[in-house]
Amino acid sequence: MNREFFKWMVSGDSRGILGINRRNIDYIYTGSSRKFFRLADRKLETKKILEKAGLPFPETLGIFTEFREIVDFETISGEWKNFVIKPDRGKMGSGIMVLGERSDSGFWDTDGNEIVHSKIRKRLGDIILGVYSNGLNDIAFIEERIYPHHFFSDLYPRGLSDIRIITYRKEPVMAMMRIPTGESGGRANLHQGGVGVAVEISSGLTYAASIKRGKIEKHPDTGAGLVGKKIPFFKDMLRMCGMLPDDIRLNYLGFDFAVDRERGPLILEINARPGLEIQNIGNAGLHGLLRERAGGAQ
Amino acid sequence: MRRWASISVLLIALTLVIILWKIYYLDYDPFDVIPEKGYKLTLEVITKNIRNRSVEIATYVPQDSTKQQVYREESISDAFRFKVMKVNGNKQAQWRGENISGVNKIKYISRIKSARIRFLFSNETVAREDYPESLQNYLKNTDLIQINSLLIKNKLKELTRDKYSLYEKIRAIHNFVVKDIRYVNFSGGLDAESTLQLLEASCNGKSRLYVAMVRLLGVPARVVGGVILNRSPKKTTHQWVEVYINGHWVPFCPTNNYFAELPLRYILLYYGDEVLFKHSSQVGFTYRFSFEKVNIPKAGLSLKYRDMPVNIFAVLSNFEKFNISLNILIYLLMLPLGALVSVILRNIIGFQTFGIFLPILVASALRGTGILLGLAVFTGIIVLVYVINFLVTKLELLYHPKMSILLSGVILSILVLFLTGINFKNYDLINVVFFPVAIIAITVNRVMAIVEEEGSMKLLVVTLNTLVVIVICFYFMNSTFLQLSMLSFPELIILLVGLNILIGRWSGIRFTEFIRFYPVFQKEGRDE
Repeated sequence: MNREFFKWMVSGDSRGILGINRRNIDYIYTGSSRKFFRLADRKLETKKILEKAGLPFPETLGIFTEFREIVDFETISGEWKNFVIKPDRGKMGSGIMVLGERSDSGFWDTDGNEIVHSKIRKRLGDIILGVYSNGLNDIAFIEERIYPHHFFSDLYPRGLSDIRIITYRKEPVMAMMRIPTGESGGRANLHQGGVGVAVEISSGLTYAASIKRGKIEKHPDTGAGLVGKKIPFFKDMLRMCGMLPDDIRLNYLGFDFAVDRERGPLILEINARPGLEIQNIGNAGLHGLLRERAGGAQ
Repeated sequence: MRRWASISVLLIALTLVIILWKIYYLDYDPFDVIPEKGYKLTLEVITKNIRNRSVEIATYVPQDSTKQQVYREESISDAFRFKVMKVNGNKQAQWRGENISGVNKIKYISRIKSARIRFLFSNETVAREDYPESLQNYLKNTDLIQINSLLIKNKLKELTRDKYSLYEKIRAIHNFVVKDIRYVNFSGGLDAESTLQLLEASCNGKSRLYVAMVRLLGVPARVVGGVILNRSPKKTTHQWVEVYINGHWVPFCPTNNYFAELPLRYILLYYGDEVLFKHSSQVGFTYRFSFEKVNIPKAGLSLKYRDMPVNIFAVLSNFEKFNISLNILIYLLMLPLGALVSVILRNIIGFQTFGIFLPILVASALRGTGILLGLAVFTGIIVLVYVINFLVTKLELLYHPKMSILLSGVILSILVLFLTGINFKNYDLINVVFFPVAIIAITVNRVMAIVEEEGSMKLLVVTLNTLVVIVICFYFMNSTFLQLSMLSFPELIILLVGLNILIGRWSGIRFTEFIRFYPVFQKEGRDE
């Protein structure tokens, strides 16, 4: 490996792999405007754009921007049930609270524990104070809960699996599916032990899966096979990726989709700085694919 | 050429032009700013006293001479009052304390610029016939330097037979005392006559015999004492000889064979056949010397370059005027360099740290606390924040009060360490208060951000990465060569900006990414 590293150092040939430096210089800073990073970093702003473009997303039930609103949570929440609390600027699923049916003094969570109102108010307060967004003031919002399509709940019934599609100038370049595991605590984050499944862009078929860079064939908890499956609505998702209005000046994006049982594919988030781990999942260099498929920077 | 590349080349070229202009057109000597080598000499005295009583301690401390210049001195002691007195031409430090009991520590630190000295002394050197009244004392017989001794007189006659010049005579005495008096290391002294009888002595017997013989030639001579800075710490002091030749006190060391010269590492503490320490009786008393090499700025530079248009010395002289040490200027100049190192480690190697500035701020703070204590304090803060956060999590506090509690906890711990240092007389531990509070606050904030968002594992990784980056930055920022370069040519900061532009446009793979994506790298290699 030393010799190879040296060769790489001398030649500068990254063999198509995209590193943080190049991602930032060639794909994020180039052709993008800072104003739009902010759009993508804020889920509520993203939703406004999606609405304009006629793209589907989970419906927002309520918004909490100030403390005094939290005090009235019990009144405001009225008849709500089966919803999710999210921070507007939270990263990697932090700060999210999923609530189910109503209980006597609060709600039941997805594991059947009772979450009392005071706990919910505390979470809303934390979000507003910026606990999940680096100490910056934030907004808490309430979103309808997504019930995953049976394709996903068959792979793993808890949490929410998602599909990440990387696009460059509206062209899809690489895709993967992320599935929670018992170890990842219901989150689909790869570094917390979620499963990463590579998805072929042309066919929507899965072709490789891994957990923390170890190759696997089956989901560790359910034993469901992960390779050679066809992602439902994949074509629709690819089409949606190209539907952002042209005045959004962001070339390089990561779209996160979830597929609801009734509503079909919904856009959860648009990421203006999507991570690079997808290269390990798909065992391919993003830079090479970007050049090949979307006329990326040479 | 791309715009960024042109700007970068322009800035680097500009720096080189300024440097060359300063050297060739302004006649700027880069070596002028090079600080002189000096020593930070530390004397530690520990006293033990069972009963409450007053204790007095006195010792000679370095003063200015042809060979050495004292730049700065300080005394640290909580139990004693301190003053410096001139006693018989020597500088005596005196500590006095009432109701002293238990173990007490005194620290005396002196920054000394020392030089190697060498006197021209040869056959052509003419000896004077008479000496002024003030030097008569250095020609006299004393209890320990017995110039009336027949034994010494006869030996001198034998040694200086057919020697005519002063040089030859002193050479003969020197060779005899160096070679024929065997060096033995015993504590306590020997007088001149006994030394000659035994033909063996330590530095002090040798010096007394040497002085006795030179005085017999009718030339003023004296024993002087000091310390040789060859290893640290040390308890032994040293004595050697000075002879008054042609209006100068010329040094000779019969123990280590220095003839009319002395190396850098000899530090003079007193003139005359004195005892270094005096202290009240019935007091347990131990001492040790320790030293480290330091840079001390040259004096008078500010005047030389005062009227120059681009004048770093003006900055330097203003620093001196307000008694701000050169270290602060160095500290400021080294920050941009440290930032560049930190950037390289991040963007080219791929270290993940608590921000880009925290490592270099901590690296600068290490100068005040010492590297090991500083790193320990930094790591301690992180551990403490983690533990306190874990403990208060159950209280479900709001974010800001929790941060405030964390900071209070860290400050409290630092005070406890400080008081422990005071109580156990551990002066190193006391340095913990020199760890800047601003850095502590930033650290608390950064650590919490990572704990909340990315978990303990990430915190561990980032902490280790940060420690490595701190140490590397510390060595760069403390490199004498780099410090001197920045000090002579502060316009190098422009060059650093140029280099940062280059790194800012470098789109290569980071070393850690090479490891992270190694399987992909291999596979893509096979496909080609």
